[in-house]
Amino acid sequence: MSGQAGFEAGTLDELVELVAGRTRESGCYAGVTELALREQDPFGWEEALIRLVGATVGAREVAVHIAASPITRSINETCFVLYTPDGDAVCVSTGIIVHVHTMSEDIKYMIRQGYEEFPGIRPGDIFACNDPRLGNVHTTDVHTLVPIFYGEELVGWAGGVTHQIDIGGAVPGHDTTVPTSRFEDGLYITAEKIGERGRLYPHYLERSRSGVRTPLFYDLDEKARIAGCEMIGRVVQPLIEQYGLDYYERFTREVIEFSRRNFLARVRERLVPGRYRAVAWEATPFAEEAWQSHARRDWLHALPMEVEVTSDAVLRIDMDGNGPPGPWPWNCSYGAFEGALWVVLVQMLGYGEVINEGFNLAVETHRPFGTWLNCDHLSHLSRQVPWVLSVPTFTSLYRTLTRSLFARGFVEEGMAGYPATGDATQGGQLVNGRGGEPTGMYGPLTSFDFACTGGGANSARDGIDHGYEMWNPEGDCDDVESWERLELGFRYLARRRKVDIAGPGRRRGGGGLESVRVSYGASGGTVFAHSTSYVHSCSGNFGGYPAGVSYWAQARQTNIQELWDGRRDYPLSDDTRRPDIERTLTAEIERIPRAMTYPRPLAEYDVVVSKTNAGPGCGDPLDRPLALCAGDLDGGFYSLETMARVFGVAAAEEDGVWRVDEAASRARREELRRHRLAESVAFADFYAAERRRLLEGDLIPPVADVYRSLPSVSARWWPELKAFWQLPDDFEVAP
Amino acid sequence: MSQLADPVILAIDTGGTMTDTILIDRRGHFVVGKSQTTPQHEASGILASLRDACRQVDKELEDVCPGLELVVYSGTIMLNRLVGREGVTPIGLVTTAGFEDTLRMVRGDVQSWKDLSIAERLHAVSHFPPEPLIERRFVKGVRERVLPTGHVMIPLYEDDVRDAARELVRLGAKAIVVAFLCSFANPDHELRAEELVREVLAEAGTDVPVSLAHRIHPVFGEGGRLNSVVIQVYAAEPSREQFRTLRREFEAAGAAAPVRILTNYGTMVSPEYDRLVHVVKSGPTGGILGAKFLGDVYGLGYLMATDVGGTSFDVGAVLDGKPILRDQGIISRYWVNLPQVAVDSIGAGTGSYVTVDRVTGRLRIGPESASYRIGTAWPEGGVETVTVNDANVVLGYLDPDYFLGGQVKLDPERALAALTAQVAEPMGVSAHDAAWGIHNLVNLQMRLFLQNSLLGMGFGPEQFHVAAFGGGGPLHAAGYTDGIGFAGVMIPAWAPGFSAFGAACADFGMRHEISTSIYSPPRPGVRPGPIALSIMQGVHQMLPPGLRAQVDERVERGEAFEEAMR
Repeated sequence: MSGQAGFEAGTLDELVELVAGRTRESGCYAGVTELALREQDPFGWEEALIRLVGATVGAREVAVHIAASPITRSINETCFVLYTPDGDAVCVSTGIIVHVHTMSEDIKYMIRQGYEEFPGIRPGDIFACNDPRLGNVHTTDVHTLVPIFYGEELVGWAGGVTHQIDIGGAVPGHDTTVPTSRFEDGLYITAEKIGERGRLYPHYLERSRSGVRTPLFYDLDEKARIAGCEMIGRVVQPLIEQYGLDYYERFTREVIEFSRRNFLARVRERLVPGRYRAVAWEATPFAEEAWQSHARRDWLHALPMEVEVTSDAVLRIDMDGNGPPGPWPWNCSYGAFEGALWVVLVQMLGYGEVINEGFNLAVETHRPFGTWLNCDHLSHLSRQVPWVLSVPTFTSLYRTLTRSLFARGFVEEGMAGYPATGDATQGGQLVNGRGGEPTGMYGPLTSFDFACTGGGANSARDGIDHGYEMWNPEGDCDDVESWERLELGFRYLARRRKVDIAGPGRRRGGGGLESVRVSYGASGGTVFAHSTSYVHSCSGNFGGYPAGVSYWAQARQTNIQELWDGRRDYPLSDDTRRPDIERTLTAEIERIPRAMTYPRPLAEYDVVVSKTNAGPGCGDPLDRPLALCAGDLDGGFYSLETMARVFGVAAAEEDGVWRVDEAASRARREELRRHRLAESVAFADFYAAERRRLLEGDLIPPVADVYRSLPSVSARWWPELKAFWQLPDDFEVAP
Repeated sequence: MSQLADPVILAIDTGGTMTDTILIDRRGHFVVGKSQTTPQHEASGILASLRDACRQVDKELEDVCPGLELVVYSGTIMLNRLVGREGVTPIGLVTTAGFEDTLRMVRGDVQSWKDLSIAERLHAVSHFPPEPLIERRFVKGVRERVLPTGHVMIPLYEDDVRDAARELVRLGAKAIVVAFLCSFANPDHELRAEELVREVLAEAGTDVPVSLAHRIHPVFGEGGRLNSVVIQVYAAEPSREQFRTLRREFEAAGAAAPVRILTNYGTMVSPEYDRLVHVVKSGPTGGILGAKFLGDVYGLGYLMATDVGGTSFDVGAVLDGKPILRDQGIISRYWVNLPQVAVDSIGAGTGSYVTVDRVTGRLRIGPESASYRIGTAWPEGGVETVTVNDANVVLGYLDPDYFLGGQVKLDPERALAALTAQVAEPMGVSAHDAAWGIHNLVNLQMRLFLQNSLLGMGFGPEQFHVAAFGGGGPLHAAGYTDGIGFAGVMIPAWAPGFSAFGAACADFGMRHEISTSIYSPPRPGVRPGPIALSIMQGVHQMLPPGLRAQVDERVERGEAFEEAMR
């Protein structure tokens, strides 16, 4: 490694330190205080930039044609990034943009561990990593990293990521609920060199393919990532040939600094300085679920966030008030935190910019040591699905920034948050031939219906209906006919809009879907889900309501074949007030108010309900224009009961068209407003009563646990809480 | 061109703004006529355009028509029906119970973002889906389920079909579509449902057309299939009458030639073709066919067809003499899985707006455009924002007195002033440097796009010739092909009318498609791994007894199982 232009570093490790040091000293990335090359020739500079972005986009275009898994192929859960030699992102393709910073951490880890000296970084080497502690989000996302050389000199890295259908582990699935420790997570590739001279090592091939349940998909996805990385290298080399190495090295640093400035400029343009706060909640209801004795508990997760927009346009994101890690798969590494942060900021502020490390530098984050968000020092933790907590957590960023955008007059921007990803119904079974497929084939249960949850509303629009997911704004849940070819034996009886779960508001949240599935032509399976339980993961904005929470419903030993034979009713929906399952089936039915489960056996003719979450609302539902309410009834988003109870609407249906009774609705709304007043409590009384509960420890165990866990990890939130409630300094929640 | 002898082919290309007609004689000589498109009565615009073509060879319409042997239409009759919401309505849909919302949630919501720019795809609050062509209350679910293998899991509940049909008749449906899941694999339920619907119609004494999804479009993927079938019934079926009108108008002028329509995949069919939805998106086809024609003439099998229009840059390919097709895309905001020429577009054309972001100082080209209003150089167009055309005028690449053959006069001074104020000054460069920079950047965007399209298909450029056409093709081709290493570049002298010309090059041909699953054993010499082996074992159990016995016999003789299964 020779020194980069302007950086006299002997080793990569020294280069990392040098860049970090100059960034610290100058306040600009890598000490680039002037965009000299851009000023000399803005058009030539822009041209080089377009070529580099084009390289990552082109890599992705090709890769999706090589991969076989619908997750990569149709739903595009893949992304490619170009990095500097020391691992800072220069530009990123479209796709799952979560990974702009994650692979950066992998590269820096390898550099810090001295990979340059041993095992060496040479032309033709291939590296891989799926270990969140070293940089990734979760083990299911597999990274491929390929060094790019110009002659003898390492000039950068190309990185590619795809989301696997299965990554081994205790149970089938790609985002499983069962692991309580790293040792149950499945396949780990810990920033390894997996090949050289363009070939993969035989021991890696054997270990990786036999370490997952879907080796064919793993194999083709890996080929897709390697091909994409190779393509990026083939653009960079001629570019250096044309512009010169010196230009390229200075230019890539300028691009990062340019993005940093642009992000600050966007913040200055769109946001109002100030401190904003929001909190999200999630539950891990495992007291009756967990197999492992140490995990058999119910947890409540309080997920507060404070966002400060400073007067010089820096965003400060403070996670103080979050609790410690635990024996569940949701522990979050630095890479996973950064991934979740950036996917939101790109959608809200950075969608038109060049996304790279510069964005990262324009934001300050504080993750208190020892919380579930800062626990990388604990290697034994499971990090299989950090999304379970990080998705709700970052609804607060959406909600707070939307308030700021609104205050600045950008009323059509932002959303009142979004729902938790779910219900990720997963598992697997073996095909028995009844449905016409070859017997003995493995059918993974891995529907991506949850890629289409509902978006949150804002002041100007209802949320996106079943077409949004926080980690991928290009919502696509593919066709039923496509999933049935993959999820062999797990047939759809219905996929439709789910009634009454969209968060009510003057603008309502986006609707979600429900699928009724039956196991048919398969046996010996398992099935489970992860989604919300008991608590709302995201409240609405400006008085809008949260969306409905999820649940689990499975019918076993059903008589559904008899019903079909006799042309009788069978389940086609699951409106929980009058569920088809209970009405039509003779079966053993499990219906519980939690959709975060451990695997259950799945036998032939079992019926399972899978449902995606809906978006939160914006504004008071009593202010929702009546014409829009009629449309909600026509569209199947709400039942008449909900319309009457929540929106104060009286309506009648004729031939499938709903007509709102305007006078009756106005009267009903007045009555609801009077009711609200009657039910309200003076703040002083509320304060006194709640304070008494805290002092007396009148809290259910999961809530008490939240308070008990905070003093050890919170420097700000806990003292503020005590001050607000005027609690004694030595206050502790009674055990 | 004026050497045109007795023309035998008339090709028509009706665009949103202009209708082009091309008259071609037996030796391949041709003239191009132009006129404004008349969306209310397309035949008028077509005849006006044809008169313009005739005038160029000093002939009257009535002199030319009797000699015509073929009239080929390519254009937007059906698209206009979709955009203007002027199709058959209300349509009733009888579909698999539990899937009544499919038109409202095509793969969730892909219709709301698939045709947006990259930035707007990321900017989720800008995503809005199109309103479905069938109201929810006209969608009736009936219980049945066929699996992708064709196996019937749930029998057809015949009473449901009768009830659905009666209800649709009562609501006044003008057409009924029957579309069940996986009917491409086994159409029995759709066929039986048709009989039942017809019985109900007969009882009610009404007669509305009944269409079955598997007949119109027996292709895998229910969201795209349903949209395709509905578009056929909504927009394509009622357009047949317009084609008949067109034929009658030609007949009145003495023509006996049949009218044919260009398909989405580069052939031509009769207006009576049963899968008329195959012609709805024929717009991008003409250029690809023209490129293929050039390839045939010069003996070149591998071509990239590049069309620089006012709004977009479109790229398609010819491989081994055949246009490359794909099986999905967007038609007027609706997601369909119809066969169509694979044409990719970016919002970079000669009319694309050029702006400097006031927050970041970054230059942006497109995707919004002035389209046919050219740019600030054309005062009558009312455009205030600089476009790529303006940069080209300032650079002297466009002759201000000969735009559209002199029909439009451009004002270079106005373009220079706008470019100076809006781009050059904010970026701190001279106006001519800015114009040169814009010209190069738009070329670069096109070049990368062209390169990625080629690489996305898995090809390198060395075997490919580029055909550059469209109004801006000749001007930008040098820039967007530079450095890629193509085998050659061809610019037809009639580049602006090349798409209409291409339509005249189509062969007769219909495409019959059906989705099916086939078992393909590993190639010779490839030893199947664990998954392939387990699939082979499963297939073995499903083989007809005679065939299975043959395999078993070979295994008994000592042959490896995987060899015996090949």
